[in-house]
Amino acid sequence: MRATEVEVAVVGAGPAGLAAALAARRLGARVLVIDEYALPGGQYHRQPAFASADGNVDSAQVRAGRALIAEVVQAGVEIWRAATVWAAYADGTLAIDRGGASVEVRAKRLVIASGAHDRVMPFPGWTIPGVITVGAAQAMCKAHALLPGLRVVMAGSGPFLLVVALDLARAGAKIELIEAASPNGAALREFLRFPKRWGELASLLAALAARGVRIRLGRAVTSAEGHLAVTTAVSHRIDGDGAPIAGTARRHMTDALAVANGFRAQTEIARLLGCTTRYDEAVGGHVVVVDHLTGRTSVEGVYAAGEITGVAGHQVASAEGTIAGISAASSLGHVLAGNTRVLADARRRRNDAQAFADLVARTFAPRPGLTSVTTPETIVCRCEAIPRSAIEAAIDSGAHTTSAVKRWTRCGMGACQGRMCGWPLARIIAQRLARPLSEVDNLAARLPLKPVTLGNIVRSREMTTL
Amino acid sequence: MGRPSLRAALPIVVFQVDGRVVEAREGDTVASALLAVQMRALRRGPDGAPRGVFCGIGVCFDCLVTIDGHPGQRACVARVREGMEVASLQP
Repeated sequence: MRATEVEVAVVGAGPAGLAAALAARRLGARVLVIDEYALPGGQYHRQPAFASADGNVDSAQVRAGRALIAEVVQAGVEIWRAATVWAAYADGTLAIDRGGASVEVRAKRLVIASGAHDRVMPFPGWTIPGVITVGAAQAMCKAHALLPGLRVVMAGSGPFLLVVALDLARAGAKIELIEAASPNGAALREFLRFPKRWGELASLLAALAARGVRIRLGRAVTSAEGHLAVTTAVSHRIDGDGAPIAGTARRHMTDALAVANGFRAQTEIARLLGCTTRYDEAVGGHVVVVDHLTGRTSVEGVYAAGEITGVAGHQVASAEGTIAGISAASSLGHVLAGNTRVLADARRRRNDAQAFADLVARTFAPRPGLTSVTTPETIVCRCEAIPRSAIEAAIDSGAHTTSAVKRWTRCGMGACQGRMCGWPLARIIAQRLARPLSEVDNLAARLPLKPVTLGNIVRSREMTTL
Repeated sequence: MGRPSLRAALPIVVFQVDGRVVEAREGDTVASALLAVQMRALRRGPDGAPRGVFCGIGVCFDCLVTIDGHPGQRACVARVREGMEVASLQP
């Protein structure tokens, strides 16, 4: 098989990846973007999957995305859709599952912009159909004009819940929103330092109120009930540590429960390449360390941008993408008049947006007591159906790392490769051993990064011999 | 749960799930087409209990179905094609 050779390969077509591709292309580099989904845009700029007008499905994000994608394509960037990277090597080679065969891309520079996904602390009933992530609810609404349910309970923490609640309410759902954070004087005073954001929050809250969205603060969802589909969510008031308080249960009738306890940075490709990470639970867990002036990671020729360097939203992601794209292309000898100004502008945009993102991350960070919503019987690893009790038995028998518990119990060994259970597993270990979360290891990234059929790998060999 | 105003205007794509004919709309994934007809349970987990879409963006592998004989396909990623045959492990 002949590898496709490019100067800059960008993994991920969200705000960071698209910005990186555009910036590198403008400098004259040959750029290929590889994205797993049917349409580019990532989660923030997710495009409707149908051709008709987007109606009142949130249009500002969709329209901005459509314009950006058009600009990237017109600039001469090639975008591979529905292409899943399943292996990555430090020499810049990527193995990609695309169109029923595995193909190879060889790039002089890699920009990894693989984004983030919701994380959820397991609670009894979280595997019942109809219990979904907030990101899933958003994707259904944005891409397919579908509601996950008519009476949707949304739970967890962070402004993302408010944004998606408004999408769903506009589309006709009745929403009850359960936010773990409670009114907090210190956070409010900090928020006053960002006058540009006051109007944004005020109009969001007003729009939610106008559509009858009920917001309950200082509570957490503690269980879901139902068999073929969820019928009831149960919430409890939480204490200062974030743990549910006995005797404060409230039952919520629902046909969809959407949960997000923040995000998890999707760093598998970067970690497989050997990029250094740091731990910060509030911004996505194990995140890739970069030099923010260039987007360079610890590995030569590999750049990272967006949520995988610390979840901070689309503005920071876009600025980081521009920075990484320019740096990657310049390192190959490409130059463009006015480059320095574009780079300086991107760095300023990043710093401005980062300050507010830091405040949001600290305000809505999950608290230690959240781990208590996972009862001994609760399934932690969805793929292998491993309950918390089995994990704790392993810990008590000496398995003190996520990798040891994985070998002992199979927790994290399934098809998702620990993407869903890795965070709760680390929290359970930290709680059981009274150890800081930052001292618990991360499940290793392993090949294949996503399942790929042997048939597809064989088909790539057949193409070689043709 | 559809948005009648939006979805009704879209071209119809017909496929089969467990031998039953389902009308999807242009651009639907298997998961969105099945949500639109209220089919939420797509398979049984290793614990024997029903499972369906969870992350919705191709990460959790909980919505796996068999498509045209190929098992282990993510319903939330795979797009519906005319005449496609989907097998769920519906409880």
